Amino acid sequence: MQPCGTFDETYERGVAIVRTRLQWGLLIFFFILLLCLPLFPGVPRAMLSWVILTSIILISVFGLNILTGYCGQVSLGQSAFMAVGGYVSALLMIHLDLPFLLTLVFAGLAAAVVGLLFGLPAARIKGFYLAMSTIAAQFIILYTLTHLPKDFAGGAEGMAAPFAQIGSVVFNSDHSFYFLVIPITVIMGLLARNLVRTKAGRAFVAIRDNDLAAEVLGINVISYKLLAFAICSFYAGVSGALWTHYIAFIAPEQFSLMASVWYLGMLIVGGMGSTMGAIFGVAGLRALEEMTNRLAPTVSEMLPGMAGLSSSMAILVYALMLILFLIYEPRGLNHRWEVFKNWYRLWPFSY
Amino acid sequence: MEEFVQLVVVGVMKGSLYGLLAMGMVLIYKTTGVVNVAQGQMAAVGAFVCYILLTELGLPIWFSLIGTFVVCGFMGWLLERAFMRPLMGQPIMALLMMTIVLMYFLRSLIGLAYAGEAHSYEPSIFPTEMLFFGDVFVGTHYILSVATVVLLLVAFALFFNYSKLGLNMRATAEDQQVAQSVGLNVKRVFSMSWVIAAMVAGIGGIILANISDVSYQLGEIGLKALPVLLLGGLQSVPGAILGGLIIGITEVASAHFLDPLVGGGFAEVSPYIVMMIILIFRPYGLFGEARIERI
Repeated sequence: MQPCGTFDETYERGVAIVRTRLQWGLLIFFFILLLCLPLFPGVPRAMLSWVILTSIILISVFGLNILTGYCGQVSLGQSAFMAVGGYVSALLMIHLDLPFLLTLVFAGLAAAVVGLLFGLPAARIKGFYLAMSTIAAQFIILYTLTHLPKDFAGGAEGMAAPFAQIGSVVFNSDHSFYFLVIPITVIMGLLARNLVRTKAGRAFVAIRDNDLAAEVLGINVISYKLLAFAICSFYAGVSGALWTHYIAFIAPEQFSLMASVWYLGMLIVGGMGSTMGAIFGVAGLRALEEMTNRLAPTVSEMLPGMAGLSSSMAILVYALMLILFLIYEPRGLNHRWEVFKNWYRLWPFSY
Repeated sequence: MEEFVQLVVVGVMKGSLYGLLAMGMVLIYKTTGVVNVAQGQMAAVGAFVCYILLTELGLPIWFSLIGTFVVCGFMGWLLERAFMRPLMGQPIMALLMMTIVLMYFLRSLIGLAYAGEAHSYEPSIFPTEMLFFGDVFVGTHYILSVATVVLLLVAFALFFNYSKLGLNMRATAEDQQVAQSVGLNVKRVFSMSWVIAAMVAGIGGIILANISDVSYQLGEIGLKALPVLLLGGLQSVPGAILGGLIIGITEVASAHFLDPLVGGGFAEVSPYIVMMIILIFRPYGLFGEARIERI
């Protein structure tokens, strides 16, 4: 919605994502701030690693947003697809010595193929049944990865993965990896944002809103659903590969069903079907997690009888947050943000 | 031959527990249309309540069993009232997500106090010695669990065919709006179905905890009830039991024959492979109503 008196005078302006000078200014300021963050002397390492992990998860949730938010297919197997990406990238690097940027692409493609495979039931079933098949995918993929030959892929204990390397630059510290992950996240985010304004993106939305009507309109529902699965898993694969090379280690237990549920939860908290919502959800819940982890030692000192408090408190807070959002604001933080923006744009005459 | 019989016997016993869990899920699905993924954790809560009453407070067995049922029933009522009812009328995926989140919520609640350690019932509720029939051995507690399942199956059949509440539940399952318009209190039916399902979960939890340990991971079994549920069909109580038996036997047999080939742990994943196959070829399961919308 635009404030009174603001008109789009050219077509370019009508389709622009960033529409006004103020928005451009704020955006550029934000990016400069983001890129300069590691250069400030007083920034703690924990904060950098928080931003890096948040960006990595954000890439995965961008993908999930395309599948679940736009195409309406619930997936509870996102972290398994991330695992596929991580393993493929690490194995290619260890055994074939491929360069990082190539393995990153291959990781995405491999995850996309696996996602396509497990998305195939979507040709026949939907809703709850499809969600169940993605849970099955989660267990089957993780089982397969765990039981690959032990000297080849490390088995249940996981294996060390090499650091990312482009040319002669090795990204082996928080400071250097930061400059790798931020551009990739921005590119993936822009791609995700623009994808939904293409033919495919409009087809996804049509399928989400009513698949029968979409079919009647001439959209090939099955192939577009599979495309959504492939894109979603591609994002997951890239994210998984980045995660693996960031911590230089990969193990199946990093990619649990619970992680998949939380990714979906981040999308719900942020608001489904908007890129901004994905950012809100991931950043918000990750910040909450960080705060809970900081508070946990203090709280467990106050309540000495609760042995598992420090390990369970983060999950408890996460679950409570999701429950509250499901009940009170199922449209997510992004909806609140839109309401605020409208209020601010139309102020003082909101009619 | 004896090896085969032994496999089937073990499979039936494991499967009867899956069936018990799936039965509670069917009950909730039939009336409210929600698949309760948290059923396994509800069972775990039941197991822990019984542990607290029996072992930590040292109450007599009968008292703690009855106490567990009461607490479980109250938990079912509370979960429905506080978490599920506000979502009435929301898309079904929101309700599914809520039950998944409830699963982790209950798990972390248990984890707050009991993370890490495994406990066992002291005194033990069921005898746990082995009985031998020729070369085939059967654990007494497994026989009791099969007996419980059969008993509950009969009780459910009677309940749904003769009691007023059971009939109300069937009417609600048939068509919520029609049931409401002939004067049924649909909300009450919903909460009663959660209460009964939670009690069934409590029974399952106690049996389960008696076989393995009372531990934090007890509720994981609830996820294995999903393949059972889909195999049997979402609406069918006998289907849940039969599905449980089939999945139980598949699990044991696949572990026995395939573990040497793939390097162990195949029982963890075989139910989900079965689930994948059902979803592709017969999504409404063996006895489910073929009402699911095909594309």
